[in-house]
Amino acid sequence: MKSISDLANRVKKAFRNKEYRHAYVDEFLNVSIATQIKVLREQRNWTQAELGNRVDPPMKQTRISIMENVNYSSFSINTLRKLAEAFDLTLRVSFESFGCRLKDIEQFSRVALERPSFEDDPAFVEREERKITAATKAFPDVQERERIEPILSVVPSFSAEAAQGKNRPQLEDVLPRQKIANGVEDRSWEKQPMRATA
Amino acid sequence: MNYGPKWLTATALNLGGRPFFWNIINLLYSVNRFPLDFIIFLLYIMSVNGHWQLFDFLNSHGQNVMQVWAMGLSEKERGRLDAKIDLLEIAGGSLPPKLLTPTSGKPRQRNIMELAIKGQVALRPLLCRGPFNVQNEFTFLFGAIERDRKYVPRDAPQRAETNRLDLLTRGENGREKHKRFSK
Repeated sequence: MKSISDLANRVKKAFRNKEYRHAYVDEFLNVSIATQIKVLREQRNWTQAELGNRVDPPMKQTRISIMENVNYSSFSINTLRKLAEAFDLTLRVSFESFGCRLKDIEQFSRVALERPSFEDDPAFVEREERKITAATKAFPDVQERERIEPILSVVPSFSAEAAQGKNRPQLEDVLPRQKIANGVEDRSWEKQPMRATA
Repeated sequence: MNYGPKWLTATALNLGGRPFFWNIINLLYSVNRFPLDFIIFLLYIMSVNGHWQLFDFLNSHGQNVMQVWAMGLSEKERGRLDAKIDLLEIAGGSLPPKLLTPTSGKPRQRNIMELAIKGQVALRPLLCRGPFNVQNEFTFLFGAIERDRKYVPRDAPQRAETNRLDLLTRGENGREKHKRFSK
């Protein structure tokens, strides 16, 4: 089976022709914008009508449907700016080299196109909040979450104290208790035979 | 049937939901209880190598019909064509919305799809899923163009269907790995 880097190599060769590479990236841009609109909408569990209502001024569902089509190419920056606001994201428009575009082609996937809205943006979420959000997302079922919470609370990186930088685990915490007795380090634990585990 | 933990399902879907690999992983997890580390490794391999396989139909003379069709195309048209075909190879037909659409006209050919490429000439390569492995393959069967919302040649979908049936009879000898259109 061909690997992604293999595809990138083939694309690189073909890009030597100017007309070819401009047509290629032009087409890729149309596909990636349409796909990202769809991916972002699905990431937020919105219908096309819901997205249309969140745009200011509201857009019809049919217009969203047209923009979510890889064959549509008449995007305006103004429309994209409105969509970015509806998704609570920022729009970035910049001139890029072909090498940069090559990376986008290689990494084209649902995950690569998803973006968190401001509320879920790791740069702005406090650590403790992030834990709750992540746990809620990973285990949407309340019963399942309650079952897993005691486990999460004993993991230092998930506990509330650790989030504030308190009670950071020390080396003593992970080594046997008898190690430090009367200020003298007892290293006898090192000589204990390894126990086979089932 | 046990579909494994939710996070595993979510990860697999995020990787493009390639059903063939996903079925294997699901089977390993539910039947043999393979170690999670091994499953994660498989998911990584999927993310790196999980491309769709593309093929071109060979006519009775052994000629690649798509390459013959593309002979007169300009570099611009080749670029547009290759861009969409590369995305089909990377992401399959489901992630980019309406990348593959059913053919128009009557009689309707249910197994044939078109890849629409806009431009001065509206290119319409016709293809089908599989036909041998419908889960991770596409085969290009016939090259057409569209003029005034009609295929040229008019019976392009029927010809593509004929080629598909011919391919099913001839087996793997009736096709070869897809060749890029770039010169």
